[in-house]
Amino acid sequence: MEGVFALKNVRLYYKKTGRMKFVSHLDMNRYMARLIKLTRLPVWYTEGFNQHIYLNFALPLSLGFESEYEIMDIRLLEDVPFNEIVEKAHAHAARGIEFFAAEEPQKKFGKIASADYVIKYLADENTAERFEEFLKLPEIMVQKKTKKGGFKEVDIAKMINSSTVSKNGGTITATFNLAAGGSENLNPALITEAFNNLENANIETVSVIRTCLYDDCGEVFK
Amino acid sequence: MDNAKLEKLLLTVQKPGRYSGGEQGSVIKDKTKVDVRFAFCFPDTYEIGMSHLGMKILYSQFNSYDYIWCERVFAPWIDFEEVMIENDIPLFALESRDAVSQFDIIGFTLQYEMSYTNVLNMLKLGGIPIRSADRKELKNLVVAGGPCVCNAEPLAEFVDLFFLGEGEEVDIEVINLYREYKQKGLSKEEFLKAAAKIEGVYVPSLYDVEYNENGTVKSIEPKGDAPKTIRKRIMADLDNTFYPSNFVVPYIEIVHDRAMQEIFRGCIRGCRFCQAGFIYRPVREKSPDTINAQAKCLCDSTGYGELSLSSLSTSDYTRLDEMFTKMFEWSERDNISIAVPSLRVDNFSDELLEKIKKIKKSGLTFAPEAGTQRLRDVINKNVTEEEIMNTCLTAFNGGYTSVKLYFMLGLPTETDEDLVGITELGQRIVDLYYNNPNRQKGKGVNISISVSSFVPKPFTPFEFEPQITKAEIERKQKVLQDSVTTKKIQLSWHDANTSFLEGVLARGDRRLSRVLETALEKGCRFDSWNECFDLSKWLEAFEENGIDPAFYANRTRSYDEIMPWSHLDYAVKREFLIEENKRAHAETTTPNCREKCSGCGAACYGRGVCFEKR
Repeated sequence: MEGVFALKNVRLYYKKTGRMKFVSHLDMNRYMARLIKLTRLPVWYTEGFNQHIYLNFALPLSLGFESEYEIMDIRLLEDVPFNEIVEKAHAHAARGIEFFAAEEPQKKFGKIASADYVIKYLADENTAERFEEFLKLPEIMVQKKTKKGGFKEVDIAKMINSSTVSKNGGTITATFNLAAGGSENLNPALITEAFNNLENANIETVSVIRTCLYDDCGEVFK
Repeated sequence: MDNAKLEKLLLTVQKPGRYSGGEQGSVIKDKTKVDVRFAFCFPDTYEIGMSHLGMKILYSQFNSYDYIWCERVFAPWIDFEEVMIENDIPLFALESRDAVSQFDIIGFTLQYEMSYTNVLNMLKLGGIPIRSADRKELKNLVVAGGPCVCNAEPLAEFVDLFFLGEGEEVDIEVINLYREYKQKGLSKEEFLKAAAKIEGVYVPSLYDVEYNENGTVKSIEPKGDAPKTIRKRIMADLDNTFYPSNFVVPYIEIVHDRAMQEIFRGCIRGCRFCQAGFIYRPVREKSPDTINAQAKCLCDSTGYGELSLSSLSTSDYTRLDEMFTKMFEWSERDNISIAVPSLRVDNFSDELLEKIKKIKKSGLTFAPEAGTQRLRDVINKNVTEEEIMNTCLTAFNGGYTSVKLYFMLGLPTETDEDLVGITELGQRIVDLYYNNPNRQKGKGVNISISVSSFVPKPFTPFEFEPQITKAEIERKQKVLQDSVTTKKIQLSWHDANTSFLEGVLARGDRRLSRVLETALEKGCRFDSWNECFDLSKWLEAFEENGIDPAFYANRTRSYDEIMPWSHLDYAVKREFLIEENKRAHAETTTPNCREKCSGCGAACYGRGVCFEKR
């Protein structure tokens, strides 16, 4: 009788920074497939007509955003030590992609509930104050695009779990914890847009970095 | 370059990945440690340019020399162009982000005539004077290579130096010479005179062109020591010619995103409309060992899962079995699928089909080019209806349910009967499918027929022929459309307006430079893109310069007319082209190089198929 082998599920953690922020989510899929191929790790390919390397990303990242906590799952046909997996991936990664861990997946991606963002804006003192006040509002209504292409009115204030703002000359650094994942997801760009529209302001986003993901229990997502 | 400013602006345009650089495989050097900086400019978008194999070869080759740093520049799309102009960002190279004006040599590859305005626009965006005469210094030398160089006279007043033929040797010789002259502080004029002595180098400013009353060329005279004619360069031994071991791998989706392996150059067939088949003669093959080693190396270094074999007629490669056998040793194990485009109808067998189907089945494309045997004989596409049917049957038996066929309209001596022959042939193929007892039950067939408009090209037997008028093209397209009677056939074609302009530029002379400049001023660029092409601006440009475009496109040339490219030698003799043109009109075919040598002239290089045992 043929031995039945169990596929080894591996969760890879990496940072996406610098010029890599110009690579869209779809392009990341292609990029990672080639990268994994270069590592020559014994990865599992999907079955069916168009076979490709099995890759599953936790949460898409908008074009232009950087991230310090990106997650991608792969499956291996053989047991390879986790540190070896990280080493190999790291060796072939481009400038801007840094693999820092490989572990056994603990929770399914559906359990992702929120994400931390650190965002820098250009804004004068007065606008910065108004932004701080704006973030304290109990209700912020915006038009959000639906998957079907229409729009619906959504209150994004309840998707802002927490926010802190620090001012420094002509820049603001805001740290947010926002709802994230399959069921409810708030793209921080909507906050900026809402503020600029409702308050007739013009703050400019300089950088957006997603720094961590959390599960529905409030713990770091693993 | 102010990186923060640039990156902020990149987020406001479509596909910022076109301009961000930093891709795997891109070469970064210390600019203070190189002697020559070369900006390799592809005059179209990133997605098109990054699919071009020639650029990959030369980029890699130039960078293999310590003293050269070659970087890539692509034409910015119209949205980013606007942003650049508004924000005073000059055209820059992707690796260093330095302005193109900082480069020693600015090189363009001329792959198709419709890219000419992009060439000029890129110079303009780089802040570089577009006319050669206005560039006084040696620095910012503008050079060009590629197939259109066989007649790039419309660009003669903008480009300092052209490379004829294959560039792997001559490009380095010229860059070397440049380095010497730069280090010695010599003038551009002195450099160009010396460069003109290198075989394969054409310096247009060293030639005076005079015209007859009737507008045809009277004479093309060299100045001083410049050679009377310039002969193209070829790479004699493809097994010992540079080939990259690594490619720059793009992040964004490009047109052809795969490893490319060249298997041979030139073509034995001599189809009379085909410029590439003639200008790349004599046919020279790489050995299966070379191909295999190069292909494996590329796949290993890039991580590409698909490899495409590149040549003008892949099924003519003499050692296909041997090559596939070697490749399958590692391609299956490494999960690499092999794409084999450019197949001929007359040697497509079950064995070949099985081989290419092995990993992944892709679509099948063939090019009968003409709908009737008579017309196929005129153009020397030596393919019979029986062979076309057999090929399609082989494909259908192999499980393929869709086939793409390429044809042309406007071929010399074409009648409406020939045209309708296209759709009738398509219909017979549909019938063949349904009459085939082995066909997949429940699945319909899909025949896509793509019909482009024939454009007569220099260095082909049809260089004497008139292109049909725009009105005629449109009439013929309608005849075709009306003749389709089944939904199983999808007809598509090229826009008549762009074909017309291509027809003017392909056999144009230096007087068209004024037209190009005017067209540029009117905002013409990306002429091969529907969104941007504007024929009315071009027609204005022609009129404002007192040029009748029909003179170039729609006029028959006599056999003794001096062509604007008469001083360029691509090995294929004029007498041969004239003889072939006569045979075309007599509906007589010519055998291919392996069947019988027809003495085209390419044997003058002493290599290749001309010397194969038959």
